[in-house]
Amino acid sequence: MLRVSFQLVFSKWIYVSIAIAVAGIFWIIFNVFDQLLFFSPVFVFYLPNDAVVGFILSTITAILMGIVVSMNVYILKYSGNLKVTMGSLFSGSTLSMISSMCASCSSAGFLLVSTFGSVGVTASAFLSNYQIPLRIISIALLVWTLYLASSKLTRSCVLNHSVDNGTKNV
Amino acid sequence: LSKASYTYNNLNRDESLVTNLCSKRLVLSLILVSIVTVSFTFYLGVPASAQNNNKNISLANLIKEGSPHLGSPSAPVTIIDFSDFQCYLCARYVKNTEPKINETYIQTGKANMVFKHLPNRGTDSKGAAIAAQCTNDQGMFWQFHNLVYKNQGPIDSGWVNKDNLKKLASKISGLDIQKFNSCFDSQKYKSLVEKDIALGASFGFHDTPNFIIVNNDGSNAEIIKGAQPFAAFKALVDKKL
Repeated sequence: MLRVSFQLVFSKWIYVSIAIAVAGIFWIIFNVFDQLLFFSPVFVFYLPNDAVVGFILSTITAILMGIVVSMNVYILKYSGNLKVTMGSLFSGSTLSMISSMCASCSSAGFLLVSTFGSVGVTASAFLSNYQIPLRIISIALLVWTLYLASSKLTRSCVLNHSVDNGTKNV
Repeated sequence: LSKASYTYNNLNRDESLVTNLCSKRLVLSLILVSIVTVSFTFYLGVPASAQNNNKNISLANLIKEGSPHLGSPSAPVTIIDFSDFQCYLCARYVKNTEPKINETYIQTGKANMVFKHLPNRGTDSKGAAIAAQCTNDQGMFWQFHNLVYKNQGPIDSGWVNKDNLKKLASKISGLDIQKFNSCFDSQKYKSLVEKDIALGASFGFHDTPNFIIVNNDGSNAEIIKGAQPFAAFKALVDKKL
């Protein structure tokens, strides 16, 4: 099923481009928030030992987001119904973003703390302490979205053979 | 015919619902992208604020204020570190970048380092900052600093609660624990820590770690945001030497 849907979508260069662009943008965003990629004062990327697991998970998330968004654009163009996949896509991607932004000792974490006070401190601490499990959950949600999108793309036309007043409904 | 017309109308209505739904999704997508972009820009920050700050951040003044420092007081460059003991990115910096800075610039007398407290990661952070400042009274700040980062645990899990801070302090050989406990229990350095937070805020620092690379006399300040690798520090420090 996955192979067929990949062949269907990624046989067109425009969807490959969308997937690469989305994955690239999110890869940059994740790595900036994880403080692995810096633009100032010098452009530098570095991967210390304690960041390897997080880096692998965020890279998987970025790739999955690229694939899923591209598939959804395809579905939007040819079917127009995104109802099934959009919920899980948004929850997966949002969870991944939040776990990156708030868990690092970044301004987003501070914003959470300053806006929500002690509740914000607890939320920020939770997101920091459980960053890896949250990323695994977001990957699971994106894999689920990928499954839904693939099954939507490969689903054949179903004939409803129920006979209603002698007519056959399609 | 009427049945066919009914089905056709239903299909049209469904199509319109789908279109509306897609439009809403697209609007939501745009909002999400906007939020991400704004956060991204906010995070990257504008280092120029260091140039417009009138605070006296000369080494002499920082030492006078009671900030812990490392290296030769006559070194031409000062690296001011704003950190929180509960911040895991600060621990990453201490583990990966600080030893290289120490070896290349501090030990060679080219730069010195000053520590400023920016405890905002959890409710136990301020206590850890006050305890660290109490060890500075006895000239043991950097030993305590390294010990705390080495033993860093999950935020607010109790690893730097009052009892554990005292236990950590007791592991430092040569530290007078009675003096430490007296200083810590009286919250002697609470106002110093709050002044550090205010100084950090005046430079737009709300996150940790952040660094100011400045000439010994407090001029020509430049900012490094985040737990950056040695290459970033090298670029700025070498420029000032």
